[in-house]
Amino acid sequence: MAKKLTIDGKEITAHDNATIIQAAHEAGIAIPHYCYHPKLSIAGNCRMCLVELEGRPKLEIACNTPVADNMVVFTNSPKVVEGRRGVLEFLLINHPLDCPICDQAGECGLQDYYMQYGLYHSRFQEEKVHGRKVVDFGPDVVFDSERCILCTRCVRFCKEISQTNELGIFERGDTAQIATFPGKQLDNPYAGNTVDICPVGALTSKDFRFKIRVWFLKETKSVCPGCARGCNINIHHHNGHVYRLKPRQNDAVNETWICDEGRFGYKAINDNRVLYPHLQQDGRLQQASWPAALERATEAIRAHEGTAVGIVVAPQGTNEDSYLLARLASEVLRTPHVVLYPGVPGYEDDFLIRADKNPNTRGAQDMGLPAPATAAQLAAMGEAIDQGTIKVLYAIGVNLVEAFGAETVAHWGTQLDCLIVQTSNMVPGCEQAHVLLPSATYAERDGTFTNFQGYLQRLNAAFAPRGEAWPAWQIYTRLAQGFGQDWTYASAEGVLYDIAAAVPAYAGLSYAKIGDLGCSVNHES
Amino acid sequence: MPASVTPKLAILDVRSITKAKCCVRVLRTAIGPASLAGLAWSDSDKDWQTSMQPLTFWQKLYIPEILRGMAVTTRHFVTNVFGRRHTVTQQYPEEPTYVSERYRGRHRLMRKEDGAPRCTACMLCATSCPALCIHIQAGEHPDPTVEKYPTSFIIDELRCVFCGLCVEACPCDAIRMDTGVFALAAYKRENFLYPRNLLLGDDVPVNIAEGKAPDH
Repeated sequence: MAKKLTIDGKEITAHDNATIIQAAHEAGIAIPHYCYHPKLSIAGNCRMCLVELEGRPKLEIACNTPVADNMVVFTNSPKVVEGRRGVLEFLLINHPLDCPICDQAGECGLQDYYMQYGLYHSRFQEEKVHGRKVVDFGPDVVFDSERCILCTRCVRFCKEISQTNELGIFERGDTAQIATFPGKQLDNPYAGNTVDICPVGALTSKDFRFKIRVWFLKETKSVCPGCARGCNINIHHHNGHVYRLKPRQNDAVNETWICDEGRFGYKAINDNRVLYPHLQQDGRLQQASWPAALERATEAIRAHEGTAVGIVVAPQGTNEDSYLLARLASEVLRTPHVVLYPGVPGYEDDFLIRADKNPNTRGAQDMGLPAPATAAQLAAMGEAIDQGTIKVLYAIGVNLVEAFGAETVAHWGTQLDCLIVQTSNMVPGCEQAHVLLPSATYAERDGTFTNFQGYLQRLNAAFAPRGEAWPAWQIYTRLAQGFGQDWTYASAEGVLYDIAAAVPAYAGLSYAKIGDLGCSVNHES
Repeated sequence: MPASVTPKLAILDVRSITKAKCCVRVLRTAIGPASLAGLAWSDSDKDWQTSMQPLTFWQKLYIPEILRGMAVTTRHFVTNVFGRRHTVTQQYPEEPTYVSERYRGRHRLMRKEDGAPRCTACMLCATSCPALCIHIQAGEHPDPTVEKYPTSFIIDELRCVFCGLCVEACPCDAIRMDTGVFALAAYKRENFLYPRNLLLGDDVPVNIAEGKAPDH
């Protein structure tokens, strides 16, 4: 049964257990709030979401008032505005107003609402209560008690979402403050989310602190490549440099959270990159042009039967990459030696973090690449190289040393006729390469990942690839063209149209249909 | 001061317009009206149309008008050479020139009472800068009450358009453009990247704004 009510003159139908703020947000009516968070329990302590209800003398908080039939709500009446102004005045009484040095400035709830409801001229004459500044809460979180408005979002997060209970409110009155329990640190794997949900500048990220002012940053919707979950993220970047990742709400995948490991995964986009093609010359890797590098690779592959070419690939690439690679292996190179290297399984929990640290293991298999290789299969490939049955190895995004062992890889520079390494970052083992091809990172390209649940999601290019890196699908296309194929892909979406035609589960898909929130490719059959 | 400036400016304005018109008029009579159609204000301009009068006989004689013009030139020459009081020529750089108090010269950074830079690295100057010439890197200050400070503060004076928006934007009065220094010189482009120390006043070239206001 649904309830019918009127908010600001708009007829709204809300579900039975909804509160006014939920009903309003669903109807696209914004109600200012600090302590309310859609994924946390109701605290009702910030009093910012005051609304006027017809027939009630006092203002009510929208976050904790259930909807009722025939309720008439005003969210912007003069009485409400006056009430909010009073609430803001109280919240800001002990606020230090140090916006120039506060990292939250530009995305601060206090700044935003003060622009709308502020008093503008302070009536407070007394000395402000001074609190603790720059308090170390944990590996990534810094706390400032003067800026805190005690909304308890972070406390509720640690209690309800991470369930680690590091934070609490201590003392009373104007000396009340958030703190970690004695002997505890805010070091759970999801601690970074407390910074995201803090509506003011009380919790700031050590990693991001003072790097850049937030108004310089641009946002690009993307998907975290840190594990098989594929949490939705926004990449915050400026001038081709990524400064931070923020979770993006997708209730089917990650709600509004990401883990800290994923959050700091952006560093690989900025640092330690391979930006130009390199060729092994005079005993060391030297920068070369793309045509020269592709020609060397093509020649080396041509010189051997298909069966002497091996491909080892990590499921880090997008579906578009995997689809073209599978076609390249079967139609062009005609090699049976294709190995999907799954990497070393990592930490796993029952919330977001998955042991499979690859974003697209499921998608790679959907696109026609083999199942993740076992240790025996990897060893067999290493042996084939030792025995000389495989003379050309094409390694894509693989940490060779981790996969085959440092001792094995050390000889490959002489054992193999050609070791082609395609990677976005300098990984151990890539210095052995005869041909080193730079590929674009996930932030620099369009594409799709399929997560372990069979949920297809889109990546968007935040900026053009740095240096001369190319997206992998482009490298495969140019390689195939070198072998006389008439591949004409000009964009990742062009590849997706072919996938949609070739793979039944992906039939009829386009980037527009996948949308920002993705779609399932699990079909009942 | 503005009160005295405004009428002066107004007079100047009128004069320059009249001058420009006279110029065009003389040219027009010299080389014929048709070829100057494009140079004129516009053909529909009534002012231009009505001011076009045929030359008098005296003007057509040519020589007397030339002599009249030479007389003006000679008068200025003589006053400049013998009567320095009315001269408009400044002997820059031998004599220091006058720089108004409001003149926006090279930037400088201010200090707090304890000698530390006032700048808190809030980046408002860099944000407001239309030339994107201010490059600040912020760092964590050991004192938690200070919290943030600029580890590096560089102004690219070659990119700077001296608009003064950084001074207006600064909430701490940490940056000023009141040095009066306008003649920036260096042998390399890199030397125009003014670092924090130079802007703070260590090793700053002497302020040359010591001249007097000229009469005009």
